[in-house]
Amino acid sequence: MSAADIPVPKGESSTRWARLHNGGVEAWALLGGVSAIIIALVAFMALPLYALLKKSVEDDKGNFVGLDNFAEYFASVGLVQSITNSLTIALLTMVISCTLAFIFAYGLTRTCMPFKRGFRAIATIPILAPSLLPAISLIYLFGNQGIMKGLLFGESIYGPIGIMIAMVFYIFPHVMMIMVTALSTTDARLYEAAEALDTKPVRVFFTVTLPGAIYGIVSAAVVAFTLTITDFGVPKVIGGQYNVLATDIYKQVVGQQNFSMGAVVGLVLLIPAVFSFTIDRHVQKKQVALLSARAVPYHPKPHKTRDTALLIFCIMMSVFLIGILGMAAFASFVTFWPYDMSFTLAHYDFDAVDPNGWSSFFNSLKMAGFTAVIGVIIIFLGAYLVEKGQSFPKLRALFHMLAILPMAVPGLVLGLAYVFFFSVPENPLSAFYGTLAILVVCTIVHFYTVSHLTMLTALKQIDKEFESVSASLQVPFYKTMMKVHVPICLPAISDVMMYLFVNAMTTVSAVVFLYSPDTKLAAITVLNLDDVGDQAEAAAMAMVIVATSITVRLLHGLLMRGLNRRHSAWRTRSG
Amino acid sequence: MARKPKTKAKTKGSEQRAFLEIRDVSKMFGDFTALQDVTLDIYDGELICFLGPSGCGKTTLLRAIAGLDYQTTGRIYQLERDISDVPPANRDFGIVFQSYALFPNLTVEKNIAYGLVNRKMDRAKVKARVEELLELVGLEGSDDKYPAALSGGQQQRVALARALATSPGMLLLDEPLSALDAKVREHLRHEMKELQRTLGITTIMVTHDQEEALSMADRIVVMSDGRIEQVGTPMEIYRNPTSAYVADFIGAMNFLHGKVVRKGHVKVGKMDIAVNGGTDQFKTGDEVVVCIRPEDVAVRDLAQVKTNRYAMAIRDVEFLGSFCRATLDVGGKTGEELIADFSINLMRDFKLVRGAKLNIALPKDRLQVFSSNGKGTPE
Ligand SMILES: Nc1ncnc2c1ncn2[C@@H]1O[C@H](COP(=O)(O)OP(=O)(O)OP(=O)(O)O)[C@@H](O)[C@H]1O
Ligand SMILES: [Mg+2]
Repeated sequence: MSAADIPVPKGESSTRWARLHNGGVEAWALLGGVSAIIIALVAFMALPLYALLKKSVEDDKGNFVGLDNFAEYFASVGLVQSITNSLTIALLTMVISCTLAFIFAYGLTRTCMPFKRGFRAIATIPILAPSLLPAISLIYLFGNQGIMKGLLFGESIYGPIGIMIAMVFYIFPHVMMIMVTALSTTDARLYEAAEALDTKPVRVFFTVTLPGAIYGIVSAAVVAFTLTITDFGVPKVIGGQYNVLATDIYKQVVGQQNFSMGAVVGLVLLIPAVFSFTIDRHVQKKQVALLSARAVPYHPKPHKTRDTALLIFCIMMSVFLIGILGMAAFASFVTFWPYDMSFTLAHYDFDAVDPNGWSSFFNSLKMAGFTAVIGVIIIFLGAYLVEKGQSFPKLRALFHMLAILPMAVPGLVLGLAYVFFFSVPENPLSAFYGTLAILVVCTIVHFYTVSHLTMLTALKQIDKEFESVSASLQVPFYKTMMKVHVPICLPAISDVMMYLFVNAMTTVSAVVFLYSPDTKLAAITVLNLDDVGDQAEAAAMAMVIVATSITVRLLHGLLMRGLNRRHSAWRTRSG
Repeated sequence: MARKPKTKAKTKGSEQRAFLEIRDVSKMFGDFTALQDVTLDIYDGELICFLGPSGCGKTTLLRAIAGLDYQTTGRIYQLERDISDVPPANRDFGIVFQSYALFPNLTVEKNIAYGLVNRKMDRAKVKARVEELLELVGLEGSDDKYPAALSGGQQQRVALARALATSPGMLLLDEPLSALDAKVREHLRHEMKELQRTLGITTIMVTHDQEEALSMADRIVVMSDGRIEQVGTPMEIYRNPTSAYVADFIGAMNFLHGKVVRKGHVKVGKMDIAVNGGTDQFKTGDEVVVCIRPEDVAVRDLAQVKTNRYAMAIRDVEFLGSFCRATLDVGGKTGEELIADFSINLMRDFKLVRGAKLNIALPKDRLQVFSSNGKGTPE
């Protein structure tokens, strides 16, 4: 190929064309890759969301009705009440979980108490379970037959109290990890300066510790708020008569088949999610600036009172977390809580109580496996093209923007949007509807952002001149990507795969609208079993999910250790 | 392939073939002009240095030559072939970056062989070529090490070997030595120059270290703000800077501010300085600067000297190892100073100490005059 083969008219676009043409396979591969991922994200995120938007201004027959649905929604006292309920729950949960997580993280980062690693591991337990699990456990503990019912002084666990306690359990790891990061990235010199000036500890806390962690705290608060307001599993199981936005969507769509109203509620739920998303992006940017200025890492000195107090707190928190998980495990193994405490495996015979039974578990395994493998490939390629691509800066920027958006879309809303988009027979992609593939795609999109950012961080640490060197040696970029970038990124690749797998195992919200009898998932089975009153079986299925997640986590740990050993010759430990 | 229009851009007296011709190359980053109408010929087999302060566009020009970032306008020809829109993979160069960009997960051998393996060269040949290159850069026996196990200087050599492996027609070096400490840098400077001369490979080196440029380059391109200030051999650049900017940038230089009093004469303070022809472009009364290098201030054998002889007091003496740098009082209201470098010998012979009076001369042929409000003038 040479430039002489093509006519070269004047002007910038012709230059661009000549460069693309001269670039050969490589340039086309880059253009093709970026375009394909953009088209995929448009087809599997933007268009469905548009369908949802359209549905909200149509009646059930598809006629345009303007804002009638919204008027109807806001006229309904019951539905509007849910907004207040959702906000109340989300704000309270946010305050409680952030306080607890801050203290816990403080213990992990700023004290000399023992067992820090153990506490940290315990604190991440909730990630491994569907959000249905803490709700089920709480019913065992505080429900009508609960052994600790007395502690509620006559209040019912079915309602705001139950939702909040279960939520605190469910979102604790997410909030705690952000807090740990916020508290670890501090400059020890500030403390030394404060000490040199003989500042009182309380004053140091309010003048140094809190301001230094403020962005992290805001970020944690926003995450807590969003996770709570968009979660569906907890209020579904333990909410009782207390309606929130998430359960309203489900009731409107699955219960009353009122799709337009479902779409309206979906859009209402989208507002707080987008709002917190915006705050979070803003805060993250500021935090980066704060981080780059950081200098000397902080090493706590022993302090008996403080260390003991925080140790006691962390033990109590661990008892709470393990207690919730343990309750579900225990309930799944006893014959009839709390009357017949003899051991049994009967509750694990899912085929006896549910038409799908164990097969739903294998569906989940399959779905999570595909999500992890296909997801990590797409996410890696996408992040690589964004970070390392040498041309098409505008396309790459557009793609990056699209990749960040899924974080702002709650699972329920995404799932509902898929229903509206894919269930229409005229859509050429409608064959997709009801298959395992749509569950995989939906899950990948749902968890795209965090994975994308993780991958991006890993890629950013790789020398940006590798592509240039590769080009100068006439090796196509994709070969260097496979030979150099993939091996270097293996830890991040493994992290992302685990993240996708565990989330695919435990997620309920997005897929609850999309499964068909053949593709029912384990977490959905938990929901159904609980719905029909087979609570012990529901707990058992939830435990199967937890066990699977733990197994995957252990495999991940082993893999990482193996990698570290094999690559120790060239992998230099990053500080 | 589009041929370049037949315009011969010959430098005076040069019979050399232009290996690379850069014509009116500009590069914009949004509204920011990083390169502006750069025109330059690079000759076959020479080592040319792009020299300039940080941010002046050296790397940008190098990347445009490599095709890693295309120029916004302008053309580039390699041996008369228009490569302006040709991607880097289809140009013919090897490149070494400041970071070396060695693949950390590949051994030294695999790093060096990276470009060869892709050409489907058979294994024994690749192995032989790698050995040859390792010997060339003096790293025999390091084949199986990973880059992390090598020192900075060794990594730099591996990067060089990798860039040379495919026998490219041109070698591009972006600050190849700046990550090393002074001792190693000096040593490698010499070695690299030797290697380049042996291989006879056309080499472009980017640096902001003038010492590096002066000691290694066949020719230096001094750049500022995206434009070329001057092109010439190290000696030309040092001896005859064509602008105050270049004069200031390279080496130490005295800038004496004064006024043209008549043709060939500049008044600085109380001194009337006679200068060679350099005032032709100035009118009487123009503000100018007279430049002289500290080592050109003459002290010995002043008996025969008639012009530009002055008596000055030594304000301060700074001992700098092999020589001393004296600060002389020019006198007059402005309180201007003149810096002069004296050998230790001379210091002893003339008993130069702080406060001593001293006769000096400013040799006419060592003086240069530039407009004092022109661009790039210091102060
Ligand atoms: N991708 C880019 N986008 C915007 N501006 C850029 C970009 N790359 C370079 N610049 C700007 O262009 C100018 C020239 O940059 P260049 O890297 O060529 O400088 P340099 O002479 O190599 O400097 P240094 O000695 O610091 O390496 C700088 O002001 C820089 O900020
Ligand atoms: Mg540079």
